[in-house]
Amino acid sequence: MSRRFVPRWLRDFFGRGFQPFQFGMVEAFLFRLLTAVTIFLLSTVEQPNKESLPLPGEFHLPDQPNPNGIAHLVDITWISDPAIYPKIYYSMIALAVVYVIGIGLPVVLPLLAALHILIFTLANSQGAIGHDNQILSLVLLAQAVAVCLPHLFARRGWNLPQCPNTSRSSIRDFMFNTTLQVIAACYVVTGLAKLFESKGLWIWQTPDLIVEIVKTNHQRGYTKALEAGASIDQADTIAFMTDHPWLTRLFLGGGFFFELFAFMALYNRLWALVFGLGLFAMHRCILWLMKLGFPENERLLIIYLINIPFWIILITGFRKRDRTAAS
Amino acid sequence: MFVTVVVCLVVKECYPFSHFPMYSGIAPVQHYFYLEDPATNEPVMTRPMFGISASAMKKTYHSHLHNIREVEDKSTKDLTPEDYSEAGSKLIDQLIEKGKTRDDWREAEIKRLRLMRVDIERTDTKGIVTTPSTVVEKEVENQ
Repeated sequence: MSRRFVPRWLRDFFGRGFQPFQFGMVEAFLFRLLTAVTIFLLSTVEQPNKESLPLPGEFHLPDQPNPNGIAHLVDITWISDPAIYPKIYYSMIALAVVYVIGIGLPVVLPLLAALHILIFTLANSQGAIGHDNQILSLVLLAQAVAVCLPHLFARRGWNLPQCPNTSRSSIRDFMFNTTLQVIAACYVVTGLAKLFESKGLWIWQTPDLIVEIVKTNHQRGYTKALEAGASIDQADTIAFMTDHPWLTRLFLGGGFFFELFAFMALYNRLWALVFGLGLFAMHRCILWLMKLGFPENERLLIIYLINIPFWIILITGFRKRDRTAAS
Repeated sequence: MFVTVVVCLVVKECYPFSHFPMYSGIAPVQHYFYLEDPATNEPVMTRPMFGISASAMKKTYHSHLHNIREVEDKSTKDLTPEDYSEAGSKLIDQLIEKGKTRDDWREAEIKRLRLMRVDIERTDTKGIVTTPSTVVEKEVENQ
């Protein structure tokens, strides 16, 4: 496209950002530590004892009636065999420890990703597909590819522009930039699916989400007995959405735009924070409205996009520099 | 990022890839399923009895219905009430298999199960209207 057709402000804006982020050693260690914890534990305020990976003794699926993914090609029920699954679970703990330390990643990460994918492929081959673990499996897969690809390219003498050499820092930056891209991609896909499925009318249709809210809450009431005093009616929410369709469109449309434009989180660290907070708030709203939690998504947004340690280190670094300059 | 977006949109549901279709199409009409004990007309809670949520039960029911459609080479509008009942019957059989390993189900004195479908509609005049109907009712064993 000719430069004269692109407004100068747009060229300036996009020219500044979308450079790969650089990550420090401490930051990378915290990313790995928190990601490893997320593989096993998903404690939240609402569910302090929630696990992500099923515990040994709680995962036995002897058949795969509606195969998904690789289960279309091979029988993977062996992974949930009561004699095998505990070994796999504890092997994953061992692999996760090595992953956190950061050694042997080209071996550890593909194994960790493959086992995580196999376990949840089987769980998703039972006829009911859940959408809470895909993002974590994709992050592990992306990290595995990102740590292996530079070595493969270097061995063949090819040039990988995103990772010019196989130094630890280059591979570290490539691995975590790829992670950010995969997280952003999951949200862009969600936004595009809404756009395509609704033929561009998603925001207009949001007042009809009342029906979904009623459905989801009633389903909750037939899943397990509600605690005393709990209600499935959500009468206030439904009344609000019925009385204020335009405010409903505004609130829910905001979440939709955060999803569709999630690639802007890759623009720079500040945009990553803004989109991380926006998407996190969207998940919290969904939890409040429909009691539908996506703890894996929330956790990965906190770790990689909101990235609290980075901002603490940045702000304390600035204050330290100011104090030094003042003295 | 572009590669991930394209792969997810093209392969759709192929774990770990997905086109994440949750709430991508919002309709003013929806439905859900629940289980009932015909002897008492009380709902049977799916989590303690069979280890799954009512939402997962709905997805599983539709997977059975999809399989029936594939086997009989039918479109959705060609499905008969018997096809819907058959999908419900297969769902109940699958749940009973799951229940065999669960104390709550083994200890429950339930001889029959009824699968109920509830249609929900948002109307301009009456607000939210719910219409329950029976999909299938069958004898079950809980030992």
